Amino acid sequence: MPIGLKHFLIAYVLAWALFFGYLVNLALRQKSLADELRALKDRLSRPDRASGPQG
Amino acid sequence: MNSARDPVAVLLAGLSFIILVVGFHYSFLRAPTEASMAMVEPVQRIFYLHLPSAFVSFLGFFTVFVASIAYLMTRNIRWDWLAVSAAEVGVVFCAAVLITGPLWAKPVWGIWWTWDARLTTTLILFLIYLGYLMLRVYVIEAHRRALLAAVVGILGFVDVPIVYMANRWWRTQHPQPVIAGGESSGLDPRMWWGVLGVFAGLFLLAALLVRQRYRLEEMRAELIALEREARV
Repeated sequence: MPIGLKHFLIAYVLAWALFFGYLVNLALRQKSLADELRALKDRLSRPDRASGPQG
Repeated sequence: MNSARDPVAVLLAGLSFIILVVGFHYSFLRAPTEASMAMVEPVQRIFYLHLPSAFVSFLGFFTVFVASIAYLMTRNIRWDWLAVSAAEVGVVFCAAVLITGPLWAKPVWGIWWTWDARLTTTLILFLIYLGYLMLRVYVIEAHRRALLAAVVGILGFVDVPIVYMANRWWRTQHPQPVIAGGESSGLDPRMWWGVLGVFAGLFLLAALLVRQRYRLEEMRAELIALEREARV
């Protein structure tokens, strides 16, 4: 194995794992917020909402 | 908005991928080996990721600086959303610089790290913007958080020109500059194609990440407004 090949591969793998890991993290955070938004919009659009918050 | 249905996000991702493929083609296959590093040939190719990542992180922190000033002048919360989005992306790219640097240094210098001016100021830069992000977690009220963060974002940017100039002002273990570093500095033109190609690709990737992070702030604001409405 050429000198430094291991370091070269680790550098590229770690850097790309960081970039894609962050992209996936953003997508998961967006999905979680979108789910919350959808649930809240559903709750607000229900006709029985006029009776006010329960419990 | 799902990124798969967002045409701008798809365009940024596609362009970034194509330009990165071209950039790495030049970096790995066309660019010559740096004269003093023939013994550790693959390691010197880390440079083609390390340097563009540093430039992209500087641009991210410059965006924080500009957006923070704009927030202080206008008090429009959307500037704060841009600032935090750029700060987070800047920290990710700065982390890539701090990961790839020591992996280059170990086979070349024989050590992972040394406290020279360039390395130390880069670590400080990373910690400043990590602190910026942590500060935001602890302040609840949006405009108070934006105000404090804007001050830190502006003051923190002072370190960027210091990082850039560190190996020009002081004698450092870090290699001498390849841009505007005097008569003996510079790169072979074939190396430049690699550096510029990867930089352009990473810049588009960073633009995509900032856009997605900004969208998160928009959704969060929408959620808070709806929660208020639900309580009424």
